[in-house]
Amino acid sequence: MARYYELNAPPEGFAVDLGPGGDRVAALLHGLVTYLPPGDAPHRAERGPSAGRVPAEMSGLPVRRVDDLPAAVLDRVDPLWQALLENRRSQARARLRDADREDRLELAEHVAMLVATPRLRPADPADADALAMSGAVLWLVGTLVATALADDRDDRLADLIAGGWWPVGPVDGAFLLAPLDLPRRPRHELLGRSSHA
Amino acid sequence: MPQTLMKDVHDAAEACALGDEYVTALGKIINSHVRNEAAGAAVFDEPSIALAPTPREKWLACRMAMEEYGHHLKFNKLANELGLEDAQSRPPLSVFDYQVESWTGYVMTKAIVDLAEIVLMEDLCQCSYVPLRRLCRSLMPEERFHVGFGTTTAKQLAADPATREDMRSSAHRLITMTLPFFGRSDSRNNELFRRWGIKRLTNDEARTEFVRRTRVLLCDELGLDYPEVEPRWPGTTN
Ligand SMILES: [Fe+2]
Ligand SMILES: [Fe+2]
Repeated sequence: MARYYELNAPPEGFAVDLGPGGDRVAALLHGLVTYLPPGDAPHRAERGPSAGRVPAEMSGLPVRRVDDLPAAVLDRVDPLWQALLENRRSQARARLRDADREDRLELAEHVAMLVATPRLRPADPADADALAMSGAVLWLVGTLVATALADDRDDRLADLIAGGWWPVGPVDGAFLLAPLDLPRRPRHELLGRSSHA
Repeated sequence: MPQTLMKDVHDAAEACALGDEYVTALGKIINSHVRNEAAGAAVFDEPSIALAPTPREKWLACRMAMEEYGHHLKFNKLANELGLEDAQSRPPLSVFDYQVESWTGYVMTKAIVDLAEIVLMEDLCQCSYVPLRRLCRSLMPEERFHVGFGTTTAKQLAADPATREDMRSSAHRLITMTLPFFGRSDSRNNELFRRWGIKRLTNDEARTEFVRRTRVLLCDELGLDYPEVEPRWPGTTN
């Protein structure tokens, strides 16, 4: 496996190297590169997510866009939805193992981690809420990388990330979408804003 | 002990110009971090994502797993620049034999094993090899967050009688297993590290600092007893 220590973007030929589903993994990571500044660059607020890619409903629930996620909202994300995704992830991993594509999964996860982790580093390294949000996006990206490689089919969650959205999950009867760069935004920028769009 | 190296060593070429002894000594330190950061991510953090009781804790565990893996890669990059042998050819330290069986057990690894990592890294923040010094300084905020997460969550768990005993036994086991992490009391390696300005503390000084801080955590903050430990370590560390 190619050894990378740092990556700003997926390397040349990455999608082809991954085989089936590789294009989808690359598109997902390009979404992160497009909507999140590099880890060492200051956060820039000008690039908002693409409004054209927002569905009216997700998982049978109306979609609600939010500009911030206070801890109390974050704590109410439906754990069943999370368990469902976790299940999809482990099934996808098992299928890749059975198909002898474990090394492709490893490469995809390695590159995803290198591209995403610094780009999702919160402005304040001690901000537990921002770190939880950052971990949520990383967790979802890890899941979608595995399912894209195993299934190679359209996925609305992956499309949203590619369009600059973070599909947060079901909370209180709505499916929340937040800007992908929310974990990166300095908290003072969020103060005084309304919690939904 | 002979004269300590007082000057800064700015890059791999300058390190090599100082001779094999310096590069070998640096290599031992860097490679132990290459191994242990990877082992920590693989043995403690990754499996614990599934043990997290709430979505929020799952996400935090995921963030920490990614950070630890990132630390592994950053140390690996330094090793690579120095042309060092493959660190993974040796096993990680025995503390990674600890089996994380519960969320409480995981929380205690962050509060205790990551605290050991901080004690070692604080020393390396003064290291004569500037790339290693810079790397350790840059990783400290993340390591502090890991320990802060462990400590804050442990305080919540300590208040719950249902998790208190699991927490106590995990803490005692982890502290006992982490003591060898600091190396033998009469270590020739440590003498070399200090002579070359790579480290400042003896192994026993670092171990004593770890015992002091974990004693504050257990006895003062969590209201637990402290395991009986030997501040010296005469044995081998793998
Ligand atoms: Fe680390
Ligand atoms: Fe850590």
